[in-house]
Amino acid sequence: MHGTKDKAAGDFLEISLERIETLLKGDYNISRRAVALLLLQGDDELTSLTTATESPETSVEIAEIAARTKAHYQEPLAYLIALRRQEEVNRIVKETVEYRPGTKLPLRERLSRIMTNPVTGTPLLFLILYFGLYKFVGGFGAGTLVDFLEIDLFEKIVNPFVERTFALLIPWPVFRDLFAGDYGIITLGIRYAVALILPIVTTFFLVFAVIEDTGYLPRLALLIDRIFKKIGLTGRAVIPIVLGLGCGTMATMVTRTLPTKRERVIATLLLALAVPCSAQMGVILGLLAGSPKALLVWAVVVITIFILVGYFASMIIPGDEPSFYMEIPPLRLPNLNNIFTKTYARVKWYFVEILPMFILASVLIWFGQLSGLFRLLTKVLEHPVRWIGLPDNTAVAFLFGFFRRDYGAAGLYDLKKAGLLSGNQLVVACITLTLFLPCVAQFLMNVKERGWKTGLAISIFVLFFSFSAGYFVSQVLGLLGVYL
Amino acid sequence: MRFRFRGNPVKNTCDNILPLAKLKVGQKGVVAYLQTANRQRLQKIMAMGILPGKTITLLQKFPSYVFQVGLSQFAVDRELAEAIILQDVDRIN
Repeated sequence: MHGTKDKAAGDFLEISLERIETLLKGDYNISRRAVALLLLQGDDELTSLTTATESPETSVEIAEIAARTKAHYQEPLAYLIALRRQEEVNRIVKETVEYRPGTKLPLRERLSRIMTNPVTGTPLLFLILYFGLYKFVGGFGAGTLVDFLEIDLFEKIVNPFVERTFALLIPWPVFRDLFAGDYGIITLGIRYAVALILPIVTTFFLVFAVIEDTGYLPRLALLIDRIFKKIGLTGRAVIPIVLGLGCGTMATMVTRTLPTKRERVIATLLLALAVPCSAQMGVILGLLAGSPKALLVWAVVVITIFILVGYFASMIIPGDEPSFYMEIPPLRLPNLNNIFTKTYARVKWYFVEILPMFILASVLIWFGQLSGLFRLLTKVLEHPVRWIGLPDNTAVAFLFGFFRRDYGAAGLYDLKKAGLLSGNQLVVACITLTLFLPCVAQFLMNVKERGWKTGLAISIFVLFFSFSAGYFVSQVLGLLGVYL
Repeated sequence: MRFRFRGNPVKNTCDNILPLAKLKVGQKGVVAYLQTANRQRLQKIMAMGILPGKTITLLQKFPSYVFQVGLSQFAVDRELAEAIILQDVDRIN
């Protein structure tokens, strides 16, 4: 604003600014003028800082100047200052920038229009989801890579080696099981983390980084804003929600970027309930891969629940309707370096966070089985499981599901391989498990971000809702005589 | 309460005054003032650099309002597009 100084000499705002500048004595690491500007605009943080730093008399004087300046103008000072700043920017730009717009729309602009036009953008979204998520994450990540790591690496090499080694090392079967049994730290915990979750999450984060880097996400946000408004969110929420398809825990943390508390609560609820994480989705896609009809039923039910629960949540949770605004940056070719850096950082974060959780889960399962606690909890869970028409031993998958959602889905995988589930049962199990309580990590994140009351309330709701939805679907399928 | 914030250089205030939301795709206008009862909305519009005197071109109306201002593009919902009042619509090309 220095440039406007001469022009605005004698101007009320300018005089007030200069007077505040001379009054300030403390060191704020930014220029006195910047401090004075913020004070006039009523910045809370800086006001309390200057009140603490300056003498009481000075603070009172500054407050008086600010009040008088405010009263002098009809418009808010923040608005006036923005106007002046704009004038100054225009002056500099005029002197320094020469701009000759081309006559033809550049390719990137035409591509952008294709993405944001609902007629062309919607099919494009499905193409991206199909190739990016279904083919690459589901097919390559959860299929090819998992098969290789799971079968060729763990089942053929690591597990037999670990079993043999621990059989020699630890003579007591009870402690041997802690490391090498059916639910051992290495044979189960590390196997799931490395062979199942790592490839799925890595491929997801790779796709997400590419999509993020091109500038597609803001375009998706504007495309989807109207629908998201119906569930109390804005287009801005696509970022945490899409990220939730990767990792719900990370996505719950990212809900911080949403501007109001209401939006944050709704997004957290939907992430906990109806947004399956990549690890879970990978396993579910694998489970239902043989039957496209079953996959369709699963997808339709989960999407319907996402919209209905969001709709009712937006009716119930108090607060203002949010407004949507977003800058649409130009489309760019993704930068390989960016993509690898981002993917690496996210996978690393995930792995550091997840591996101890898997090991802890293995230890808890071992302890739970040893003490009989698990048998008790499994017995309790068998009731709702039976209620939704599933065999008793799926209760184990649900119980493990709490330690890690994907862990539970992976448990179902073993049951399917053993041929214990019919098509309908498989769909009901997948739906219930998708909706079921988030993993321990996401539960902790819910509590951390939303507080005890809300975090716990969301979890209890999700617990009851998931089994009710499973019951409902199994009844409807039965009544309609559908066998998938 | 209703805020109506006039910018400094407003000429011919009665010519073709329209909210951004009422423009046709491809039409241009100069921001005359911002009109909203909601202070947060005003703050958001200002944060996008939309101030009196700026020329805006509407690029898309559905599902969200997309417009060009300077070298930037923004997307807003209907409420925000209603609050941006333009003048000289159609006159400038």
